[in-house]
Amino acid sequence: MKTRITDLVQDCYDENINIGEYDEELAARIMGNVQNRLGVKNTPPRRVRKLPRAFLLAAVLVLAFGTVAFAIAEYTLSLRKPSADEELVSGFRYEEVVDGKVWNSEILTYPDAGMIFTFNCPEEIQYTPEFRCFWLPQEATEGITDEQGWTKRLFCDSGDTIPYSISTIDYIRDGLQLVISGDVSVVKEERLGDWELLEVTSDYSKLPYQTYDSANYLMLFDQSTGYLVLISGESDIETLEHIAHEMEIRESSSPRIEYTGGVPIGAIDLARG
Amino acid sequence: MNEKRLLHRLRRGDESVLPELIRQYSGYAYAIASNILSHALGEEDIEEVVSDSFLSIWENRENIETEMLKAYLAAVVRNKAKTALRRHHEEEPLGDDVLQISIPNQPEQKILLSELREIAHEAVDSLGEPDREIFQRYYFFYQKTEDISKALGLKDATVRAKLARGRKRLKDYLTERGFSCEDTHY
Repeated sequence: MKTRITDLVQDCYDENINIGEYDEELAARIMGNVQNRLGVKNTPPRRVRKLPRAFLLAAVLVLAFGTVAFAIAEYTLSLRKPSADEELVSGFRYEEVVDGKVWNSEILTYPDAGMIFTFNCPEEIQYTPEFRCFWLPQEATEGITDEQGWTKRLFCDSGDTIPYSISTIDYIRDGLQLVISGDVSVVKEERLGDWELLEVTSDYSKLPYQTYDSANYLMLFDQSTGYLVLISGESDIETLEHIAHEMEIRESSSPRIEYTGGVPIGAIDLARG
Repeated sequence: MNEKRLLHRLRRGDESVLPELIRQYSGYAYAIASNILSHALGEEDIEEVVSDSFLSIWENRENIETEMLKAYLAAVVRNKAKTALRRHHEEEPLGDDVLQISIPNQPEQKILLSELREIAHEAVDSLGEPDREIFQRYYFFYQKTEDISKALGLKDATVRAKLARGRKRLKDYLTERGFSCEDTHY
């Protein structure tokens, strides 16, 4: 039989051999060609789309066992309720005096933690996400967007309430724990486009130092990148959902923020973390 | 973005991974296609093959079993380029590529080819550096000897000599395992 050496060595691949160079114009032509064949003019950035409502399994498991794995892919976000004798510490300062007790020690404890979100990152996250909103219940009072509306933070303070706060969490690393205080419960978990959407609500009414009674939190987490966008506020959860459904998220060119604190714990409570 | 994450997003059908894939690997894919096709086809046809390859990867994303996306892309480009050559009734580019192999018995050809590929893999792996890289650049990536010599800072004659040594090693390996072979032409 006759055979080609090129066919015989088809499995002899060495990934360290690099040939070819990046050519922006070539890449654009190839992209255009592929898009034409796919029948689209532009490939849009990932857009959060509403999908059929998913399961409430996480909520059920949290109630039953106090812990649940939220994602099972590369990057994971797990949530659990702290045990009664668990001491949590943070590098964040918080200055408050309640009943004569000073809460502004160098390392702040979190005896009031209601839910702990822990990140597992198989590899270091290099870049951070950014977002733009196509619908907001009212104009943001803080936050700068570029010409196309992309930003990493939008905050709205109406004077009496904080209707919403939207931000990217740019310091995620392996083992990082984020805390929400108060009596926290999972409202819903569902898939929203490429993102896992986790909705929780916290009742702060029993805590002496919060200026609001309750707040809602929507966490949009991407299992393939470890990116997290947090939407929180005193608005009802449907309003925050509306924001989530009408926003677009993509990878930004900003690198991850190095976390310099010794203990990888932080609070993400509305107007606190 | 690294290969593993690209593959993960690809398998999930994340549309935004396509521009990323093309940005990261179009130069690489074009180089392979061009090495195979440039003697016979023009730039537009070569770009068509590259586009076809990315499209094929996208459309078959759910069936990708390997974890080596770049290697998978290289294999797809090679196959697409060879198909394009056949469609245009053109020959593959390398002149010293064909072996006449005498088969000791007649098992199914598919099994035989698989066995031959394993032996070839062993033979290539047994080559020291830079001989192994030269052999792979030439026979896997279809790079011309002058391009290999430039990339590795060697004389063209040296590259040719090392290729000849690699071919001899391959033939020796095949002969030792019961196959006798000679250079020939299609």
